[in-house]
Amino acid sequence: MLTRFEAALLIIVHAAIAGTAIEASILDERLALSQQHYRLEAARERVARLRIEAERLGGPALLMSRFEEGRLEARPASTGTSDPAPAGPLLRWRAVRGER
Amino acid sequence: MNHRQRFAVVIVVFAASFIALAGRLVQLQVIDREVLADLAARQRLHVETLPARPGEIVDRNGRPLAVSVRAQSLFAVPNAIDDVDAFAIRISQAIEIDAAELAADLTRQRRKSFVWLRRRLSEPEEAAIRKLDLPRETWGFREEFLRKYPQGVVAAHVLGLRDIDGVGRGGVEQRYDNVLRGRDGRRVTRRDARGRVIDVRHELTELPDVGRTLVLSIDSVVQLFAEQELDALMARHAPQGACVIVIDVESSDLLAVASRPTFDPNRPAEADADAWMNRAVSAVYEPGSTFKPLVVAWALDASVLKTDEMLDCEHGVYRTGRRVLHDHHGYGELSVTDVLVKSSNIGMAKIGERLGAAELHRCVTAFGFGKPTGTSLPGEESGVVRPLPQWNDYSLGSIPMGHEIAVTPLQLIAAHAALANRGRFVSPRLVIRELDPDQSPGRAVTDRQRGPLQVASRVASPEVARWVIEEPMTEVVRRGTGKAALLREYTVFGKTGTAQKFDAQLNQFVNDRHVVSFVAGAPASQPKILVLVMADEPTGSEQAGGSVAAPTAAAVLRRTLLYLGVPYDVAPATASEADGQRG
Repeated sequence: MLTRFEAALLIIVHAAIAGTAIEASILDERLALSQQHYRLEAARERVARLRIEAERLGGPALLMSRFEEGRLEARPASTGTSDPAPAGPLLRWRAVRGER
Repeated sequence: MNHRQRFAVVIVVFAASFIALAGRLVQLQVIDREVLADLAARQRLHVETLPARPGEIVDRNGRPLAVSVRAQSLFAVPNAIDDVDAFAIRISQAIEIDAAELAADLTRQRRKSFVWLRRRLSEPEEAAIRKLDLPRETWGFREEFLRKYPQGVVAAHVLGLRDIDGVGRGGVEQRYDNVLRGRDGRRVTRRDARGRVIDVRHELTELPDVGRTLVLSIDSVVQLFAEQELDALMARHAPQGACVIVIDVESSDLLAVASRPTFDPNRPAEADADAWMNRAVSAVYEPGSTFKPLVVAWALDASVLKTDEMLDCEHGVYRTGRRVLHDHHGYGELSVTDVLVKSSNIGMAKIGERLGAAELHRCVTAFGFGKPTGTSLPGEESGVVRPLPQWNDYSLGSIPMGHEIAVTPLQLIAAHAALANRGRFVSPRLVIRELDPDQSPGRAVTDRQRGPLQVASRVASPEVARWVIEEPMTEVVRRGTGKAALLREYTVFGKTGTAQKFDAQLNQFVNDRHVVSFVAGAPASQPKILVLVMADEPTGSEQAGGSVAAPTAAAVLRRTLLYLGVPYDVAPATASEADGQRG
C-alpha cells in the first residue's frame, strides 16, 4: 500500500517537475524570440537610417544637377541611329579574343 | 448558566465565526474571484503598446520614397511638477517652445498625469532634454515612429503623409494605410507599488508585425524630371495650378505624377491650403482639342470615316440646328489628318454627327471617362459625362471637340495611352506590388508582376490606332499647333488643348481664362512614353496649349526617353530639319 502511494507521489512529482521544466523552456524560447525581435528591430532601424542617409548623399535630386552640369560621367544610349557607338562592345571584344 | 451551557455558547460562537469566515472565503475565492484577480493584476501588471514599424514606400527601382525611423516624444506629468513656471522655462531652453504658453497649459491641466509636450523630437532636441536632468517623475519619453520622405517634395501628392498620430493622410499613405500600418504588439510588465518594473511577462507579450512595403510604379528620376520642368512652367506662366503625368505606354505604369502648388511632406505645417490638391486626379476640366483624336479613332473604327476622306469645313461657319459653329480660321475641304492638325471644330462636329449620340457616348465611356481610373488615390474624381438621355442638340457638336464633358488629367492620359498602345486600353497602375517587410524590392519590374486589378480592353483596332498616332498626331507636332514639342532625337506625336473656363458668376465661358494642356508621346513608330501637361489659368500673353504646355511636355519626354535609353528614331539629317522648323 505504501509502495503504491510512494509510486503515485513520485509520478506526480515527476510530472510536475517536467511541466515546470517545459514551462521554463517555453519562457526561455519566448525570451529568446523577444530578444531576437529587438535585435531585428534595431537592425531595421539602422537600415532605415542608412537608407535615408544614402538618399541624402546620392539621391536623384542631388546627382541630377551634377550629372547635368557635366560633373558626373553620362552613359550614352546603347543603340540608336545617331549613336556612333556600336551595340554590345564587350561581347564583340570577347569574340575577337576567341578568334585568336 | 452552567458549565455545559457556557461550553455550548462558545461552540456556537466559534462555529458561527468559522461559518462566517468560510463564507467570506467563498466570496473572495469563488464569487468575486475574477473581479479581484483583475484588480490585483491591474495593480501589478502594466500593458504597454509596442507600435508596429510602418512599411516603406519605394519606387519601381527600390529607391526609398517613405521610410520610418524611431523618435522620442516628450510628455510631462503635471500633477508631479512642483514649480510649473520653472519647469516650463527649463523645457523652453532645450526645445523651441514658448515658456509662458507651456506654463499656462500645464497649470490648466494640473490634475493630469500625462500631457504631450512635443511629439517626435529630433536627436539634438532629445539630447538637450536629457541634459536638463529634470526630476524623473515629472517627465518622460515615449518612443514613436517618425515618417521621413527622403526625396522631399518629389511625388508628394502621390505619397501623401502620416499625421501626428501616424495615420495616413492623402496619397498612397491613406489609400494603403491598412497595408503599411502593420499590427501593434503589446508588452506586459510586472511593477512594484511605486510603479517600477520588476520583470517582463514574456508569456503575455505579443510582438508587433511590421507593415508591408509598397512598390510604386513611380520612377524617382522621371518624377524629378517632371517636378523640375513643372517648376519651370510655373515660373514662366504662373498658372493657378498645373500637373504633369508620365505613363509607360505598354504597361500603363505611372512613372511620374507631379502637381503644383505642392508641399514638403517632411514639413506639412508649412504647406499652403491649396497645396494639398493633387490636380492629376482631382482637377476636372473640359479637355478641349486633346479629346479629338479619340473621337477620330472611334469613328474610323466604326467605319463612319475613312483615313483618306476629305471633310468640308464650311469656310469657318457651320450651322447645326439652332447653333452656329466657328473655326479659328476658315477652312474649305480638309483631310481627316488636317482636321486634327488644324484642330477644326466644324470637321469634328461633322464626325460627331456621323457617329450619332449613342455611338459617341459609347466612345466616351470606352475610353474610361466618367469613372475613376482604378488607382484609387484619395480625392480622385470621376469627371463629368452626362447620361445619354440628358444629351441635347448641341452635344453632337460639342463633345467631339472636347466640350460638354469634364475629365481629369489622369483619365485623359490613360485614354491616349490606349491609342499609343495600339488601341488596347489598360487602366493606369500606381502600385506594382506589396512586399513582406524584409523582402527586397529588387530592380526589374516585369509584366508577370502586373497587378491583377488592371482592366484591359480594346478601344480601337491596332491599324486605326497606329494611323492616328503616326499620321495626324505626328503631323500636329510636325506642322500644327504642337511644333514646340519637336525633338531632335525622336519623332513626337501629340495634341494640344486650350479650353475656356466657365465663370460661375457670369454663368458663361470667358475668353481670358483657360485650361491649357498638351499630350505627347514618342517614338511615334513604337510609342514608349506618353506625357500630359495641364496648366490651369496661365497668366501672360501666351494662353495656348501649344505655347504653354508643349515645351514642358517635350522637355519631360526627351529627358525620360534618354534616361530610359530608348533608341533614337530620327536620322541625323532629319534632326537638323526638325531644329530648323522649331527654331
